[in-house]
Amino acid sequence: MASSASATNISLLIFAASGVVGLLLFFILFIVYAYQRRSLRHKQKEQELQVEMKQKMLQALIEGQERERARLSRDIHDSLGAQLSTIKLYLAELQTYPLNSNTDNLIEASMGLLTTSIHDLRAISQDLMPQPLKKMGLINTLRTYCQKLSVAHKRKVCFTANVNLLSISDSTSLMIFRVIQEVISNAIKHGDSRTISIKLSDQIHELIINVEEDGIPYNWEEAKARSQSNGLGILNIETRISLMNGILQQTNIDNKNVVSIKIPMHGE
Amino acid sequence: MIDSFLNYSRYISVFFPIIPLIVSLYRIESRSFPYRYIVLLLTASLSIDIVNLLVLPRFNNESTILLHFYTLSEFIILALFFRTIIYNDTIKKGLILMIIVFGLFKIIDMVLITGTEKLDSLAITISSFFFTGLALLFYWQTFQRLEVEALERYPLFWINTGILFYFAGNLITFMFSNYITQQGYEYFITHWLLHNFFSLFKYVAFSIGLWLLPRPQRISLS
Repeated sequence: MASSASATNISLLIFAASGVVGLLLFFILFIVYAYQRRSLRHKQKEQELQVEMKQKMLQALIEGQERERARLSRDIHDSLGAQLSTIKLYLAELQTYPLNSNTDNLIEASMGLLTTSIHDLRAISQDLMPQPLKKMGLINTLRTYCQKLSVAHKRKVCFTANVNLLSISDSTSLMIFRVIQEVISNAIKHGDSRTISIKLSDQIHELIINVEEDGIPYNWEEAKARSQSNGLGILNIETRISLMNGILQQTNIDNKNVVSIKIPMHGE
Repeated sequence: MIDSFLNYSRYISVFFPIIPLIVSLYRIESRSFPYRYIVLLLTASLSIDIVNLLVLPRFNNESTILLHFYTLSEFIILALFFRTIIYNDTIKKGLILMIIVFGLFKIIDMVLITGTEKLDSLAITISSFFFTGLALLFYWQTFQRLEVEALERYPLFWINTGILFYFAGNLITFMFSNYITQQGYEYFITHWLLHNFFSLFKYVAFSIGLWLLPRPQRISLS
């Protein structure tokens, strides 16, 4: 009888012990699992914060760059440009006085050089900070810019736009303008292209920019690694696109360098 | 047969600390400070159990006084261990205070409350409650700091898990120990078997924790 009670006790004990072992294992697994989940969430949060901080730093850097460009453009236009125009006026006034032919020729040549300098200075100022962007909007500014490039660099620069950009902010417009400007500048400087084609279109909540040029085929990653100055230009493009949460793709199709950019437009 | 099985299990449990002690020989450097307390605890446990269960009965003198001293030394060693692994300064200071308070309580318990002839269930219950809380606190600290890459590879996690389960188990078994021991010899043995089971789990967890420590690097100058 006593022996039977002991056997029952032992069975109960083994049963209880097995239950406790199960519970212990479950507890350890649960703790490890919960810790991993928390650790993963923490890492993700840290990464997100790092990306956000990097974005903010880049944004500040680009804004500072734009402010400096605007100041430089204003100084060139208002100060140096005005001074050169005044010199030109003085020279024109000097031409009305009776002078010998040698002096006349020198004044004429100086007037010509001054006119070219004022023209170049305006172009530099315009390049630094496109004044009509706010007034004319992105599409018209880009169209004018392409026309000027065609004349200045004696290349065919075609621009087509089938897009409504009324809703985009001034800062985004400037950012897109800078990206296109840099892509074209790369094509002219390094690709030695004869024909450049820029096309703006839109899909649902997405602006698509396509730049095609027939210059020497090249790869951006290789160009970045090869040349520091060129690398900086490409980095500039990539930074601005990442700030707009856009996607950048560079390929070579049918002996043409194609740069394709997609920028989300929702929330603008 | 069952009686002899229950009795044998008491003797077998004496040697449980040997496994983590052997592991510690391979893994512990003299600089591994918190782990030295664990080795000290294992040595104390092994020596006291050997003397209590194997030496004293030969002289017909099976006494609980050594267990009283073990409860006190276990409390001091583990409190010092937690003092090295818990970062909160207030808790660190509080642990020193607790060692003093528990030491005083233990003297009073041995002289006035329980005496030296009976098992010190009250002290064990208090100490179990205290270390269960500290082990949970260490989990909370680990979860807050998130400094460990993989918890299952963290030696302190295993040692803390061993402490938590041993003392949580003790808390339940010793809380009702007076009632259980009154029910008869078999119940008393069952009670000790349960204690031994939690003890075994503790030593297995200690062994895993010590095994996960990096091996000491031996630099040859030749």
